[in-house]
Amino acid sequence: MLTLRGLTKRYGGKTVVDDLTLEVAPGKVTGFLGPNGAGKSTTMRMVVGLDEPTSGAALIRGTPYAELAHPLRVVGALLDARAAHPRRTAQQHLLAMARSNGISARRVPEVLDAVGLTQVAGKRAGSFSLGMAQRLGIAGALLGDPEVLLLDEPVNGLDPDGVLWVRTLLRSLAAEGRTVFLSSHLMSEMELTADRLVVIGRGRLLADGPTAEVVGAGAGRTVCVRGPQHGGLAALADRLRREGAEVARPAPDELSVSGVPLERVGDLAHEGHVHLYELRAAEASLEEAYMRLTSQSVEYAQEGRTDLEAGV
Amino acid sequence: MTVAAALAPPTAAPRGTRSRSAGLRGALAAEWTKLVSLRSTWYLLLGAAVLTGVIASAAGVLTHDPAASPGDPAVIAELNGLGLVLAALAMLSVTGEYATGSVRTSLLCVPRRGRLLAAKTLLLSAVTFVAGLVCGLLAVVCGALTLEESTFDAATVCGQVFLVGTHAALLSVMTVGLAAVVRRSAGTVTALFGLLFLVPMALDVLPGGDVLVDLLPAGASEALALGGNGTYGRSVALLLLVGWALAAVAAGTAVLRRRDA
Repeated sequence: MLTLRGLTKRYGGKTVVDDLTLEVAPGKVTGFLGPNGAGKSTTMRMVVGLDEPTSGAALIRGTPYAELAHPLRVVGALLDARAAHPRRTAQQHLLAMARSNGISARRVPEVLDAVGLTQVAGKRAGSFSLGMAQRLGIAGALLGDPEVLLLDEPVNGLDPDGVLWVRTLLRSLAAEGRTVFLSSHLMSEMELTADRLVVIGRGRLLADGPTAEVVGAGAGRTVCVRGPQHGGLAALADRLRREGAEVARPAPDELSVSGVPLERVGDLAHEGHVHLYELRAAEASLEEAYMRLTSQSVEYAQEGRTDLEAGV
Repeated sequence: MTVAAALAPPTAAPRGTRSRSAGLRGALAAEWTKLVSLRSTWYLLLGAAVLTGVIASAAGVLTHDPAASPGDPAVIAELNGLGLVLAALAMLSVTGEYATGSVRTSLLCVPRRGRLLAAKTLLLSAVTFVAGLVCGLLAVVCGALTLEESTFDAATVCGQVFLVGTHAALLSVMTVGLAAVVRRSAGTVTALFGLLFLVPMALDVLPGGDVLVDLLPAGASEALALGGNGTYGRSVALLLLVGWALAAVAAGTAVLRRRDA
């Protein structure tokens, strides 16, 4: 269980994290989304005490990280792929971590095996690729068998096989009742991995809820219609508009309808003898929902293109 | 690469029956592991031994005094290079972590910043003390072999070897503190050289500056080696050096606590 209470960080006059209050529940994968510079990493750094909050608090089971007797046994964090001394071997890096928290040295080969680095345990961390460094970081996070996992962009630099592995790993960790909190800029990955989403922009909380809810919120179901008869489609569009629907025509052979249920669109097409190839409810995507949520709060957007470029 | 292995319970004590805080002991164990797992540690220790042999032998050859102790070259070596090489070891334990970003891992493992710096200070003082003793003994051997004439007194020689170890440890503690304030190797070296050499030189030209020079680490080191100066004796010199070392660590702790990592 991870709790943020009015968490705020200011650098000079700039507020990076602004009064963030939320609870990250156990047994779920909670995704942390936001455009670049939204304050995701700063939030995570404050949770583990690397950055001092200007005000507010981040608590793990009601306790600040620095006051945990064995922090690594409660919280596993991957904040930065390059957090190992490059001239130390993977095995030595993990052994030093284990010793600091009274974790058995036998745990080191276990986690190395779990992340698939056994073969390179004796190689220096500096010789690792980004993907291997990420795996070493994940090994460090798993070392203390923690009940809370904090991961900042864990799939960065991983190959598709590695991405799938991280997804499976995080899902099974959450299934065991652990609290999994991860940030990622890969929207599709987040949609597949996270049960719950927290979206921030310019340090402020924009959305916090089950993934489906955040994705669906205000999206409005649209119905996609496709057929060969351009005239027929135009007639159908007119008919639908009379019913109060909003109709767009993204292509000559395609209509995008909202405000009318899919069944009604089908009935009207049948009545008007319009030949259809496709009639489907278009799923709102996390990407669209995310763009909508963050369009007002993008830090580094090109002028006038905010809605297209936001943090993706 | 099995997920099952990652999810296996740790071989440490199971949840609920965990031992109390690993605390300072854990932090010390981690610092020890980190220190011995870097090759630079062993290169520096080897370098310290070689430098000691060279300086002590040269000092032995150049000394022509029937009353000289074979421990004299050891003290000369400590004040003219050995101390700084061992201080470099102490410096790297802090600045090396900032340069590589591994300090974030250290702070994740030991989030109590005072405890982290205390562990580094304790470990490095112990390691440099022992390294100082070993190098001191080596210097005594070199001195005995190269001195034309000398007077061997076991108590004096033991005292001189102990002095080398103590001085190396105190200088290293001061360096750990400075390094925690400055965070970068180049800056720490500059600060250390400034404090040890430049500030005394600058003060020396001021009227009455020589009194202040005696109170600085370099002045206290010299007084410790020579058994005192015009102003104070060996025990005051030792206390002054301890004071400088503790002040540096206190400053380092204050900065480490206040700044974001």
